[in-house]
Amino acid sequence: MNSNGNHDEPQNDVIVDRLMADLRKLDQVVQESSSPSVDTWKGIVREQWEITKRKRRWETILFFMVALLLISGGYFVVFSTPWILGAIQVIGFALAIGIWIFESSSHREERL
Amino acid sequence: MPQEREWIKKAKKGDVAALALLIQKHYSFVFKYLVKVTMDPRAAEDLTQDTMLKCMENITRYDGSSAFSSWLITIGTRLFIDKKRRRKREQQWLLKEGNTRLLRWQFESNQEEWPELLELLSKLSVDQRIAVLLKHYYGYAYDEIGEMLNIPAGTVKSRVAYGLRELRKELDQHE
Repeated sequence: MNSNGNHDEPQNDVIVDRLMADLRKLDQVVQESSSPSVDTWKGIVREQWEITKRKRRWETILFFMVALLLISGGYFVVFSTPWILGAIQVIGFALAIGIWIFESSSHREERL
Repeated sequence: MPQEREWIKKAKKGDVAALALLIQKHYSFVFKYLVKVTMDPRAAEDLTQDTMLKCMENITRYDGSSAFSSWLITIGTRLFIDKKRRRKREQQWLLKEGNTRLLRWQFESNQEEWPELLELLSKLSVDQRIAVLLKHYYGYAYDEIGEMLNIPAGTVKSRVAYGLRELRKELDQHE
């Protein structure tokens, strides 16, 4: 018999039964919340979906604006500091030569 | 139930009328659940409306792995837990003042005595109260409750056990 298992169960059953009865009474006593009619809900659903669609449209526009800003910001830095542009071109050129050498040496090995 | 499945299918495709019917059908059920969770009919009313709004926004995410009513009470429970975390100070004030006074008044106006166990239930921590309600009143299994609350089933079991123990302890003291 563990400390919070079997020993507690009969006592818990009594509490649970009483609690369930009280909760059922609560359900009877609590005044039914007046739910809007189906037509009202249709109006609310339509409006809510419109709001969600507009929100998502604005989120997409904002995303692209931020992306464009970042890209144009990057271009501004690169073009306003010529040595960075030069360095990127040199590194890119060196990488291209390296890849070409690697590719041609691996093709030569395959032929052999 | 087959009619409800049809409504759900249509609602996910963007049918306004189908979603409106679904929401109207489940409104009272969600409200009564949230009354038991919040022990405050006014807060339950607000939360029920917030739950339905969230349902409208996320209906395409409902995958049918649980009953639609279970999905709604999951949304309602998580909204309540989020609000509770954000308004910790206000909650402390409510606990001091007693947020069950509206319910007590409704009982009195129905010539019914306010049950002591419900008063004690309102004093349990929200986590324990929700676990006890979902397990014993709504009949969910521990793992189902765990999925709803995003916690392990073992944690749910402890919360239920400690909640009932707390109720028993308080009741024994009062009697």
